Amino acid sequence: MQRYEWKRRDMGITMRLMLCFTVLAVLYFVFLSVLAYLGVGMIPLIFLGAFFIIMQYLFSDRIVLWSTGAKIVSEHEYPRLHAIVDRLVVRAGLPKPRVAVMYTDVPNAFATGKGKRSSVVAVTTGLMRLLNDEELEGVIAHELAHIKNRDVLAITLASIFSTIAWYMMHYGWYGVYGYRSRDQAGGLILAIIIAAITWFVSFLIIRAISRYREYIADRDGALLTGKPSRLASALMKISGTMKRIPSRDLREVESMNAFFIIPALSGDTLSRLFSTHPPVEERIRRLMDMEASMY
Amino acid sequence: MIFRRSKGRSDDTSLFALTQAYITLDVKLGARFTGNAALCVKEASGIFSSVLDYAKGFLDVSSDISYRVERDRYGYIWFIISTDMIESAVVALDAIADTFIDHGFKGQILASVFAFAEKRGRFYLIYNHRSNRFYPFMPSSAGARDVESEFLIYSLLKHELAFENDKTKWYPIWDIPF
Repeated sequence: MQRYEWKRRDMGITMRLMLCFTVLAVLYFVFLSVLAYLGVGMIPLIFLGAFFIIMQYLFSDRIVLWSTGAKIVSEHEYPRLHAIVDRLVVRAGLPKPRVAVMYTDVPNAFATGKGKRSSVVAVTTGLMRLLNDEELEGVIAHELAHIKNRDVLAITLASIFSTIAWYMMHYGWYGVYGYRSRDQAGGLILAIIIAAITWFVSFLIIRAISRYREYIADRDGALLTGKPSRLASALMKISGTMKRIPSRDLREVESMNAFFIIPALSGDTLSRLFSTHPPVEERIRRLMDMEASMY
Repeated sequence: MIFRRSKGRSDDTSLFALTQAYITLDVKLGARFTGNAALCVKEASGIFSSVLDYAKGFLDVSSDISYRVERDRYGYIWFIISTDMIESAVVALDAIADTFIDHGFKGQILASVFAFAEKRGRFYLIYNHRSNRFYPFMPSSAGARDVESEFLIYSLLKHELAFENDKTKWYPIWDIPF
């Protein structure tokens, strides 16, 4: 069993995800209970919010393709790209997604779509130029993992209540200074405060979920290719980590005493809390640890 | 962050941890010690030359190693030793490093360098005597380095060997003379 240690499920991440979803569910339950208690007739608003989100979800692939300017490409146009996708989907047990290309030098990739069948995997021409075949395969496997894990659906669902809470905040605020009578104002202020807290906490939690889904996609993608270091290498190239590894000779640097000048930078926890993607350094570290455990 | 766990870290900051870590390198990566290692020291004035002679004298009486001394274009002195055993290399380099440190030349020491051969090529483990930390260096072609392999070596050994975690300090040493 020792040999397959690297394939072991990462229980830490699974547990954290479950915790996140549980906290979200409890939060929404409390929020809705308070609403019900106050007897606020906000059902139309809730429906409206939900409607917008469901529409956004249903049309997500078209919206994303349109807004990014990605074009669906055929096998004749991009045989190498299609070949990589073909081989991966066969082993992943996925229906083949549509393949799209964005004509930009910025190296990037994304996957979208409401279900496994209507998905799109898109890469930029810059990404294809920057990466070799194995690295490109690593990135596409990461995107296929997003599709397989239904991440678009997961994030959309998680966003629904957050969006409703956001609408509530505005609606409630309007109510206090609008047509509502004075004795109801206290209840409304309470509703606003609770809506605000709900919105803020769910905002943070959604971002946390989003970050852990990135780790999971890294992991599942790496399991699919069997070469975690290739995705790590791709991430290094895309993020410019490669450039931060010095190429200047130690002896030249030493003569300037650079070892003592460079300050140790730390403490970007706040920005981490708000970001949807985990820090690339951490993703590379996890992937390389996974690679190391295969030796 | 609340979800962050603290990382395990080796607290053996000495050069000697390399002899243990070498077993891991050998077993997992198939990497072999090439038999060459060196201490690189910046030349200085005054009693430095007699310390140099003292260090040479120490190496002269060490039976299981041979050595040569080279001076590079930056004005650094390389004590390049050859031995089959990595343990002998570690002991010898630690001893001559101590010789310089004892005479107040700690600041003159650039690094200790150990050369390994692996199927992807030759790589070096560089030991900084001030931070007491290692980092990997694998030159791939002229002026370029194989960062991916370096990261793999780092991931394989970081629990056994005190590594420099700040990768912006992984300064290469080009044209290592062995």
